[in-house]
Amino acid sequence: MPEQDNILEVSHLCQTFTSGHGSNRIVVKAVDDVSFSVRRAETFGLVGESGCGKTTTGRTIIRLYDPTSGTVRFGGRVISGKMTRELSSYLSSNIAMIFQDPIESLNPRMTIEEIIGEGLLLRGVSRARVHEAVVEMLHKVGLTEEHATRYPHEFSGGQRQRIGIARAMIIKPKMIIADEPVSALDVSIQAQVINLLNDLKEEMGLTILFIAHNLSVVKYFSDRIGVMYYGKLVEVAESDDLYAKPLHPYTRALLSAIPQPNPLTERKRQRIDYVPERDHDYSREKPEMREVEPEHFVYCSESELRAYEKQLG
Amino acid sequence: MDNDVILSVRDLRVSFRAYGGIVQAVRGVSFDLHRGETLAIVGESGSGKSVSTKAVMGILPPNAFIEEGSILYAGEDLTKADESRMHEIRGHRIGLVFQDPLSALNPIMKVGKQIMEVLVRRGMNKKDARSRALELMRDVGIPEPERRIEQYPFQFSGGMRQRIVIAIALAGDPEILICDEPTTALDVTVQAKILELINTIKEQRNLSVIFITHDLGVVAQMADRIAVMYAGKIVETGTAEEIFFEPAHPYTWALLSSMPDLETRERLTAIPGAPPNMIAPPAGDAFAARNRYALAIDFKREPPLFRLSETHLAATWLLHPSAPKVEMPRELKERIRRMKEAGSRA
Repeated sequence: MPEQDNILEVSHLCQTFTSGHGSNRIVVKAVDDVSFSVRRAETFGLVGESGCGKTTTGRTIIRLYDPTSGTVRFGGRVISGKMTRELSSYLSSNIAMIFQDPIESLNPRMTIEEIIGEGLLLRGVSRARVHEAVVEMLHKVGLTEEHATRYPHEFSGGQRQRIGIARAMIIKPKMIIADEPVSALDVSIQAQVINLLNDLKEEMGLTILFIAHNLSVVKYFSDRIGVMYYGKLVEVAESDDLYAKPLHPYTRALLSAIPQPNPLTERKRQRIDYVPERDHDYSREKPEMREVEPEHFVYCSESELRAYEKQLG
Repeated sequence: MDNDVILSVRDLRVSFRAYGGIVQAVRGVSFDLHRGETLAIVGESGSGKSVSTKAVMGILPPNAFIEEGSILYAGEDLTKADESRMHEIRGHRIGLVFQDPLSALNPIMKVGKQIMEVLVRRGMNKKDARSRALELMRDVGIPEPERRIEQYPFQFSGGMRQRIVIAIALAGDPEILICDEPTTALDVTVQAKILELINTIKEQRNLSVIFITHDLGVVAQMADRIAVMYAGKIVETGTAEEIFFEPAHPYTWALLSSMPDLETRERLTAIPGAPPNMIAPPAGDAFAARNRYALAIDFKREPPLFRLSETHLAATWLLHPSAPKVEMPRELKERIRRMKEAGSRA
C-alpha cells in the first residue's frame, strides 16, 4: 500500500547481530521482518519493552547500523542500500536523531555553539552564518545566546536535552527520530521538553518517529502507534484506536500493565499476562501483518484475524 | 492511633559536604510510618527522598551528616545508634530494596548463599538456612528454586534479580521494608509483577512499607498515604485519595498535571524552570520561583504546614486564612473529574 504521502516506508526490515564464532556463534534477530510507513508531518510512535528492537529499528533507518535485509525508502528514495558519500549526505541532511541520554550524547569538550553548529559547518556554511543560526536555534529551544560559549556539564538534564534538540533541528531535517527523548528527565522537566517538541513539530512541519516505552507519553504525542515485541511489529493502529480496542494479546498485556495515576482504578486493576505459546497456535497457519479494520494492522494468523473481526463487530 | 506508629522521623536535616559548599539535601523532614501501611514518598531527583530513607537505614555516604533531628524506632533514636547496633537493625528490623538489583547483589556469589548469609548471621545452621532460602525464593515467585539457588546474579533477568533482592530483604524477617525506586529499572510488565509481589508479601507479613518513587502511576497502585517532597522538605502529605483528588499545594498540582494521561489532548502545563540549588536554598517557599500562584510572602517566609484534615497537611501560604482564594488549575480539576469517573466505572 505505498501511498504518495508516505515519507518513510520500511518494508521487511531485518537486523541481526552476531557474536562468537563456530559453535559459539549466536545470531540475535533484533528486528525481524518489520514493515510500516510513516506519513509526512505525522508522529509515529514505536513502543515496546527493552530489547524489543524499537531502538534498533530507529538506528537502522538512520543507518547507524547496516540493515541485514529489507528496504527502507525515504522520500521515495531507497536509503537501505550501499552506503555512498552522496547517500550519507542525503541522510544527514534529511533525518536527524535525538537520543535518550542527554549527557552521553553531547561531547563534553565542545562548547554548545560547536555542538549545535557542527552540522552546518560540515555543510560549508560560514562561521558567521553558523553563529546566527545557532543563536536563533537556542532561542527556539528556550535557551539564550549566552549559553553558546558554555560546555555541556554546566547544564541541567532538561537543558541538555534542549541542546540535543537544537542540534537535531538546525539542519532543518524533514524527519526526526526521537529515541526515548524524555525518559531520562524528571517529571516536571519532561512536560517542558514534550511541549517544545510539539511546538517545533507544528512550526517546521516535521515528521517524527517517536520511540519510547512510556505509553501515556506516546499516546499523547503520536498520531499512530506501532507495538513491537521481540523484534516483531505486532500491532499498528491510530493511537486512539490502539488504546480503545487493542487486539493483539501482547498489546493488551502491555496496556494492562501501565500504572495509571489514579488510586481508584489502580486498586482494582486486572493485569493480563501474555504467554506466546498459550495465546497463539501457529503450528498450521503462519502469522503475518493483516488489516483487521481500516488503518488497524495486527500480526496474526487467518483464524485469529476472523476472531478479531468478530470482536470488533 | 499513636500506638500504631512504628517509625517516627522528626525534624530530620541531612547535609552533604560537597565541592561547592554544604548541600542541604534534607531540610527538616518529619513523618510517621504506621504499622501495616504503605507510605509513598514522591519527588523529583534531588528532592531528598532517597537521602531521608538512607538516613533511616544509617547508610548515608561518608560526606553526608545528620545535622539534627531524630529517627525513633521502637523507642530508640537511630541517629544515636552506633554502627554495630545499626547492623543488627538493618539485617533484622528494616529491609531494603534498591533500584538497581544488579549492583545490590554480589556478582561473584551464588544467590542462594547471599540469601543464606543473612540467615546464618542470625544463628541458623547451614541446612536450615538452605531450606529457608528455598522457601523464601518460592515466596517471591522464583520458579525452580532448587536449581536457581546455585546460580549467580548474571544468570537472572532484571525482574528475577529484583525478586532475589526482595528475598534477601525478607530473610531478616523485617517489620519495615524500604523500597527505593524498586521498579524504575524494569520494564512495565515486569514492574507490574514486582509491585504485585510487594503488595502480597506486605499483606502476608503485615509489613510497613516506605515506597520511594517519582512515578505517580506506581504511587496510585501502592500507597495508602503519600508524602510529596520538594527541595528537601515535605510540602504535602495525606492519604492517597487526598493527594490525588484534593491536592492543596501548587507543587502537587503541577506534578499531577504535568504528565499526560491517556485522555490528555491539550497542551501540557509544564513547570517552568528547574529545582533550586540546594547549596543556597531560596528563602521562603522553595517552589515559589516556579509557582504561578506564588504570593509575595512565599519569597520571604517559609510556609508552615496547614492542617486540612486529620491526615492531610500542606505547606503553602495559600491555605492561610487571609490568603486570596486560589483554586487548582482548571485542567487538573478536569483530570480529577475524569479520574473519579474512571474509578466509578471500574
